[in-house]
Amino acid sequence: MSIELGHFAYILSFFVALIQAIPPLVGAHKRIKPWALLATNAAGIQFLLVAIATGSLLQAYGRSDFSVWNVLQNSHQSDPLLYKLCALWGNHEGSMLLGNLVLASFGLSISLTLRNTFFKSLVLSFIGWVNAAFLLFSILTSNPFLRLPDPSTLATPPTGMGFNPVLQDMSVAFHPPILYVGYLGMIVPWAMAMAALWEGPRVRPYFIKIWLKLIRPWVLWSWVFLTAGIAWGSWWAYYELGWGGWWFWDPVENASLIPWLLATALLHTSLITKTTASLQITTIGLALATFISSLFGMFLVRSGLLSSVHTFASDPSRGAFLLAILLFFMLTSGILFGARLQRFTSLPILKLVSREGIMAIGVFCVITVALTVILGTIYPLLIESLTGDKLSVGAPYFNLVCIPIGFLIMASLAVAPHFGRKREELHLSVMRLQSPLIVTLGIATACFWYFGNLWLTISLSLSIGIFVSLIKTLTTTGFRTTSAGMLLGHLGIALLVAGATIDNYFKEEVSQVIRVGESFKVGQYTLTLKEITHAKGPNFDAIKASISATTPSHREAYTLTPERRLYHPQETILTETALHNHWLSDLYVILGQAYEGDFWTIRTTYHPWVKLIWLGAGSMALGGLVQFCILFWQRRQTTP
Amino acid sequence: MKVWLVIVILMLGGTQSIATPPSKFEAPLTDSKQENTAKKLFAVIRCPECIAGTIEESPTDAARDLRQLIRDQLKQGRTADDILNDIRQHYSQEIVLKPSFEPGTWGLWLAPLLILGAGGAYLITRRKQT
Repeated sequence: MSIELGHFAYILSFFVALIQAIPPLVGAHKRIKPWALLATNAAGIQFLLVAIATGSLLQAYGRSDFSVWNVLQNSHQSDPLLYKLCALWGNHEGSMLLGNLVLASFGLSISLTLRNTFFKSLVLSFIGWVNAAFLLFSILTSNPFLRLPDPSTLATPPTGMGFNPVLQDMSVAFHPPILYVGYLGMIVPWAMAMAALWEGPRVRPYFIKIWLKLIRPWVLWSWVFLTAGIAWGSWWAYYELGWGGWWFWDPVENASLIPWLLATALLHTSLITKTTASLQITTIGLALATFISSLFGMFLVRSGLLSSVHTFASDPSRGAFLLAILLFFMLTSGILFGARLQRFTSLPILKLVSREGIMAIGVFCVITVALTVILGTIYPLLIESLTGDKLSVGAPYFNLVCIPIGFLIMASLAVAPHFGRKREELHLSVMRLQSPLIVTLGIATACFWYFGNLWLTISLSLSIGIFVSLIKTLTTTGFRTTSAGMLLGHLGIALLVAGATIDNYFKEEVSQVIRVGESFKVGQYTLTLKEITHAKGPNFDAIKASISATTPSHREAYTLTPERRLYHPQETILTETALHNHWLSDLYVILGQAYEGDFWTIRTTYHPWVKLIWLGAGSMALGGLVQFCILFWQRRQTTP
Repeated sequence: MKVWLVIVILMLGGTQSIATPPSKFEAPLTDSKQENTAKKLFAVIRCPECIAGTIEESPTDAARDLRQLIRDQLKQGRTADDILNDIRQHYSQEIVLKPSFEPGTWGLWLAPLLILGAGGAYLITRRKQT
């Protein structure tokens, strides 16, 4: 019965979203206070209703209520309880519900934290518009609350079709919610930009300063989640997909990278605007573009236009609906932006030779990478629809174009902190940069002399350069709490790039077909296949290999147990990677196919220093979080 | 009984028929120059059985066969371009993850440069209007 309650709440929440969207907009525009104030209550009720809906579906999943289509199709009686519950967002309909919940939660947080003004009503109203659009989409095309026409007609009691086994992993179970908070959270800066533009003629000139203060915590919050979500996903791909790679330039990965890049740019331009009052239009434009790019990513992933590991089975009506939503918000944002641009034309003082100037150069490079990723992702679609030719754009293209621009970004972030604010005599900054530059160039020369590889040298020495620059900052100005986030974030970039470079150039890969008792070598390890056994899990059968690894320095052997699992009831085969941790490095072993005569394929890769990649991403996310906490703390101090 | 069935399915990789054992392992070419060329080709050819990713990293049979084919052809002394053209003809342009520079892909290759240029120009005009 409760599923009907959830269904009812879901439909009702659409109408509440309309109340949150329309009267407050009119009220704020015509300055009718009671109408404008409706938004605050509507946002609260809206969250409550979507939460009831989510709760009731979650309950249906927990109890394996197979009279509900969505539960029948996406979970199985034998699944562990945790995966039964996570199955809710492991499918298109359920994940739309989760998306609605996340959107509603941002509406609620705004209604609780902002002071009651017409500006707040406008922000909530714009959030309401997005909520309404997605609720309508979900209810009409992707409703998770539909029941089977008559479950009793089924011959045997149903047991469910099961949750996608690839997703049955602790780490990936919480990857979607984190990512959703990240890229749907960009709705707040977007709505605040829309509200500022809407109020355009009324706002006072210094309003932009207040606006920057308002958006900053929200941008940081979403950015932290987006960073963590992407890193989490890439860790999952690294060890669960069993390919040994950690970034594939898959369209869906790109769809999450684009908002991340734009949000990173936004975090930095907002600082430039704060200190110099320049680049106002760029900052407001980025606040709009970041959320629009999230919508664009959602459209790409769910319309079925692109094939990817992540795409859910979809039908064309959904694609058309999502395209309509995307175009609607893209056009309204674009038109409003174009119409009110004049209001925010900034004082055009931006000295290129200054901290803000160098930051601006870096930021424009980040935007270029974002646009390149968009272009590369949709180019095959464009060409196919225009000329009918089919082509693929993949990792080789993105690496070739984005890595050199990435080097520029790294160089700018290494030198920027050593330039003075607003204006700078060039010779002063050159003097300050002297020692870090000499150290870095020395390391670069040694690197090139030793390895003889230009790309490796540039990449490593830029990472080291950032590190040296951070130390220089710490030694000259001392540690300041306010720059802790920046230090951690930039350190993260240096670690990530260093890890990626070292892994790329020094990993060792060996694929062998051997029998029990035979051994082979990879890196410093000698691996011996000890035995092959059969194992049984709650919803799978497995073949387990027992492989011992020894190194010359270490007498005792490590045992690695990679598996091949057959998941029921989908009858899908998945490999379970075995990892041996050695400080920052990994020995990565996969059990491959078997051949006649008891031959087994063992694929082994030694990944040197590969964990620096996720350590770096973690450091970036932590930097964002620290900055967020500092803002929170400062605000509490300033408001008595 | 059922257990054995499961083991057989797992060993065979599902629906595939029994494969003959390949040569003991994927031997890199003895000529390191040729092996480097092979690696460069692996990095731009899409695995035909997979959704994304190159044959360099894919564990599938199709990828392994393509790697073997490329190594064999290189050993016979064929050039990388010839091999790539053959593969392109056999599988269509979609097999290559790095589109070649031709009128249809000018936009793809030149746009990043144009965007960088436009960004630079924008920053410079911001600077001049003091």
